[in-house]
Amino acid sequence: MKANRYPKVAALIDIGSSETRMQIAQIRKGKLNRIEALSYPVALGRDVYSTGRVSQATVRELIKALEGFLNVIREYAAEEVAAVTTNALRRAENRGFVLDQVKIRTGLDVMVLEDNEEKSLIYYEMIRTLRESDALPEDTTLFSFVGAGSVGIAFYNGKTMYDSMTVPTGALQLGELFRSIQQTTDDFGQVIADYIHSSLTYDNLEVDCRNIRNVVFTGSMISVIAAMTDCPFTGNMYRIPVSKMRDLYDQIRAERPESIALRYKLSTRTAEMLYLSLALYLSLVSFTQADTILSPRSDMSDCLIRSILLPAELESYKEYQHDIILSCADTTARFYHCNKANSDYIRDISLKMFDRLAGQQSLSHRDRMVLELACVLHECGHAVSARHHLQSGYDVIRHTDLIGATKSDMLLAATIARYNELEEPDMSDPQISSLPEDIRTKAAKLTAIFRIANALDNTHTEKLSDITVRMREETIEISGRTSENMYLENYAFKQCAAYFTDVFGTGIRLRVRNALK
Amino acid sequence: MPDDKEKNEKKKSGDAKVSSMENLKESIPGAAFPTAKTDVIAAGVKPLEKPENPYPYYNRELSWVDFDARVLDEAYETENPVLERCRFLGITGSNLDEFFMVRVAGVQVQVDHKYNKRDVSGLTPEQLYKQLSEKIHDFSEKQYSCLRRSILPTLKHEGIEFIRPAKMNEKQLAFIRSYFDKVLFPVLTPLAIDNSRPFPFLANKSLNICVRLSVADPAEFENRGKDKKKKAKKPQEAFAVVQVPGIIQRFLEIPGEAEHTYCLLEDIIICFMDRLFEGNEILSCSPFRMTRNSDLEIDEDAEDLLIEIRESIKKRKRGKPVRLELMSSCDPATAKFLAGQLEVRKEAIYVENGPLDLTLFSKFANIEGEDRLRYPKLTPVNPPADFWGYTDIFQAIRDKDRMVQHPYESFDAVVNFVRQAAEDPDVLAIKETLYRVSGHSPIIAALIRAAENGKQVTVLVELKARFDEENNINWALKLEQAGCHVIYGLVGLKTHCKITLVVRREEDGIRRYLHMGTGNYNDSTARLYTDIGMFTCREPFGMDASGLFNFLSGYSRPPVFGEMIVAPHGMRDSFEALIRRETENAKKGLPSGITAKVNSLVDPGIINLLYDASRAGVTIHLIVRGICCLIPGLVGVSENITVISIVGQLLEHSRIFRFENGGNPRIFMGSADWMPRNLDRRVELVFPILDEDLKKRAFAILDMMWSDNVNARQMMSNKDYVHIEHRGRPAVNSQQEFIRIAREKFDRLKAAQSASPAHPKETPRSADEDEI
Repeated sequence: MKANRYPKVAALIDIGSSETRMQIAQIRKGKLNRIEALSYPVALGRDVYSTGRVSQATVRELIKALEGFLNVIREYAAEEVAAVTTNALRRAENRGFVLDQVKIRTGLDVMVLEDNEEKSLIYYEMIRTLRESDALPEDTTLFSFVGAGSVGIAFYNGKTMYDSMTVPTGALQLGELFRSIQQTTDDFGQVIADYIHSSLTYDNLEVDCRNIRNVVFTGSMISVIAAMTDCPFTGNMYRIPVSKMRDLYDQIRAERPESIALRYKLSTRTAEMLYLSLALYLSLVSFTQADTILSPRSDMSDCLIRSILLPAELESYKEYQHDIILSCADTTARFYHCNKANSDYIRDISLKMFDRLAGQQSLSHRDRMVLELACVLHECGHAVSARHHLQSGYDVIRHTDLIGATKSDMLLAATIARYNELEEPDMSDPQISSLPEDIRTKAAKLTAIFRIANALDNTHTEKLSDITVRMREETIEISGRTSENMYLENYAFKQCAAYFTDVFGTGIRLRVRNALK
Repeated sequence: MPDDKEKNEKKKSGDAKVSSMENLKESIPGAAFPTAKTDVIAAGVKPLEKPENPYPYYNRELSWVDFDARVLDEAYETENPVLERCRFLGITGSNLDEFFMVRVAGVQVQVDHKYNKRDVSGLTPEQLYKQLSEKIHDFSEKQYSCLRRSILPTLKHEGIEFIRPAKMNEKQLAFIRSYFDKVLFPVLTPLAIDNSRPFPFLANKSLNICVRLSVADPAEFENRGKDKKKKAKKPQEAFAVVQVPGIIQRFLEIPGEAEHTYCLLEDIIICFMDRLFEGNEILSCSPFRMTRNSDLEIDEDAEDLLIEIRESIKKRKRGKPVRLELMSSCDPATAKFLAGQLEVRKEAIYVENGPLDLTLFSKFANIEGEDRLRYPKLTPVNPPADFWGYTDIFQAIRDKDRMVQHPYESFDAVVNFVRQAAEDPDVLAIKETLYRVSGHSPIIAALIRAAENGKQVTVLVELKARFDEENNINWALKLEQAGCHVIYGLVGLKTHCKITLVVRREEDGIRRYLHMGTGNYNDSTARLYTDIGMFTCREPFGMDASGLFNFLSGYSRPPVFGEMIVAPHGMRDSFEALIRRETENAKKGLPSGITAKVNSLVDPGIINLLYDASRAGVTIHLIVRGICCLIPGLVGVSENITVISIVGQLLEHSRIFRFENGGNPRIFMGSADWMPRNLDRRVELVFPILDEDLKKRAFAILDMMWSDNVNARQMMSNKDYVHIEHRGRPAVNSQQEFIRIAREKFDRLKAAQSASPAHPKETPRSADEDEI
């Protein structure tokens, strides 16, 4: 029986902070059809947020859960199995040992998703569900995901996410604080509210949210809150009036989780998570003018498993990711007063060169995006220090959080933007030598391209137009028209050309045609 | 006492509370209805303890004896073939044995520990034990009266006779002598009882003979055969026990004038007992039988549950005696001796006027060559109508949900489902729950075959199926050896649901096929019990089934079930909500009604809600085969509730629930009765019937049972059960009707197929058919 006669079946395991879940799905009539959804409680988060490490007992529980999941996977002969983990394991000091034990005992290679990757997936699913339900707002909207370990906040302008931030204070983490506060004060409700407010009120969040009327939230406690406020799940989402959520919070604000648990027939842990999630949601919504909270079904594992099963879906996600990364990068660039005209110009030239070279040089779509990032953000450093703007730019870019961009992406972008016509990459520089070898080579290539492009707008006056990039007799030829003096650009170009040739093994020349002729 | 107007107003408003004893008095005519609380308890009909909820509740043990009495009625019923009457009599015996081993034993333990908390019916264990003893003594008398005065004479009339050696002729005596010498003597071991040899350990339910001897010299008795020359001293009394071999058939056919003449084993042994005690004077021989407490205590936290259960099975054999049966011919000295040795209380001694251990009549009912004295053989139709024309069972289920009613329709449909799954190369996995399986189970064989064919086979074996533990352990080990993944369920929860899940890979993706039923995966009991099963491949059921198995396997938290109702995760809430909805609908003037068929109705919470519903005007029809703790027909409480019990040729076993739901009736079937253990302490499954054709069929099944006026007895408000009178209507034996209908359907389909030149692949059932 040939396997390709049957639709592909895939499994996705998500090792979370309080539970490990698995989904097995297939595509039926073009849509994702979930066959199995399992969840097994493994309290990774509890270990990590209290001690910083995952205990051996918890590792054993995790492996037991995974072994059970593998049994179920065998029952469906799933062709592809992927495993991811997010916040709790990401933060664990002994993450490497844990993942190693998992690999040895179960054969699973667990991919550790960075926070920004995770949020990107969640927002993607939220937008997708809203769009499918015809409920995607057309004006500025605040999106938020309250997780166990962090709170993600993003702004959507009707077309794309344009700004984001991550507050490293999630419900589970707050729980540790909450428990200690309860021992020392009866007014723990106010203390928690104050703490949350202080965590959220920076980076002009209040200001940015002031005029927002649409909020879209998600998180593990939403369904519990919806049930308790009697809001049904219709059209693939909950619509929870802010007033109802506030009333619920007011009812439980002064109660301890144990009594909330008894009253509402919840476990104590759920009661605690509920309490803290409510506090977080209400703090966020208080910055806006929204009166209803939309909460669509949004499980990041849906996006991942869809990407496994449908190549087109993967492309769609990549496109979305590209858009939001660059959109957020644009917002960051504006924040640092970068010259947009210059960034766009350099970006255009860089991409033309990249597209000409990528096929021969094994450069990927992701590398292209990182090059774009470097172009957009390369002037950030000027806002910090005019004298050391290159190093400052490197530091700023490297530590900027952009939804969808990994730390590796940002490090590479920072490395690329670190150099101009006056500074050439020095392979002995620790900032480069500490990179893995394949990344080092990639960084060199992308830097070489960037420096050339940057050189061609050395004066920030975008002199050249009709720029084309061709390959002629083993030489890259960049040509364009101008009627202006190109002396400085030519000089800068020559400074960068030798490095380019060194890296690519290809010559490079600039051909300028007089626009007046 | 409230006047009629006031009563009517209260009834209309639906707010009437049963607060007055006067109302209860009225509804139990003839009862010496007490006024004081303690007197109420003595009546066995006691409101619940909470003063704000004074609903009546009938004690479950007492109700159970009433059920066994209904089975005994069938033994009395002269219209039943005589060997079937023997079988019924045997069943009452085995039922009573199990009742003593578990239920009476439990009460006795409470009494022994001086536990005196009142149960929900208001009785203390001591009071209950006393009432039970009286009731069972009375019942036992009726059993033997039935045997002596009705069954034995009828058998004789049919040419079948039991005789004792005293009435035998020479030829017969020679025959039994020869039998004794060749077959019995070699296996008999008399066990003397004296100072150096304590009373022997006797197996539970074994039949034994206590021999009272006159011993010339006790020492000589002890050392008999050693020194015959020693002078005998003054004779003294001694006792010995001879076990009647359980491995040999209890009744022996001997030559005689009647067509068939039989003699009982114990009579033969007694006749030649002197051969076992040569040199001693036998003063008396008294058969006796002992029943032990057999309720297992299992430590589910034990490291190895298998080992723990095996150990517990051994302990069961050593439980304390809870009943001693003696024949009426037993002499007082022997009776006193046995009672003392076995330490049984007076109420636990049953003196019977006939052969002990009536279960022998269950085997006797199968004697060869006398089919004329039994029910006509019931041959289930095969294939069932729903599968007519299909060789591919998966195709049949894909086309439509299917229903099979056993034993009228063959259990082969279920076996074939598993067999086909085992052989089908597209099947990836099979999962099944096993509670009680037959000796040479074809289902087990199919599962083993599936594992050998590379399927992922998961079997949930419930080790704690009472009295089937050893059987289930054996099957579990066999399945494991074959490569099946055997799991034993969750600690503290007995898995009682009956479900099979097949995962199949098809061109449009994975599809899950299910069988869910009311009966065990046991091809033997499927011929004797009435049960219903449904086959489906609807996706919501598939998701629920997978979630259930993942939970039972310990792989995942219990899911939120979409269609299925699963205990203990929400079944109680679901049933309560369904009943409450009927109450609310009645109050709003919407169509309302409940029809439920269960084996037992014991749960106080459900009973209370049914009373509430009745008081709100909901018409409630209950078909309760066995224990019913609800009392119908009480004014102001349950006048809208009618309870019938169907006891007939087949054991009613299916559970069906219908709720009128404001005019859009819903119907469910499943594994759960309305007992606390089902709702709270077991994993049970109740499923809705969604297919419109199958819904109609299910409604018709219930209607047919409700119209039974042959095997059905109605429970009255005084807790008596009376036969439903025909009153000019035709006699309706629901079980016979189902047999007829299944056969007719089969014949119609066969005729249609033969008549059609094209021999169509399938003959779909018309949605207009209103027969079952």
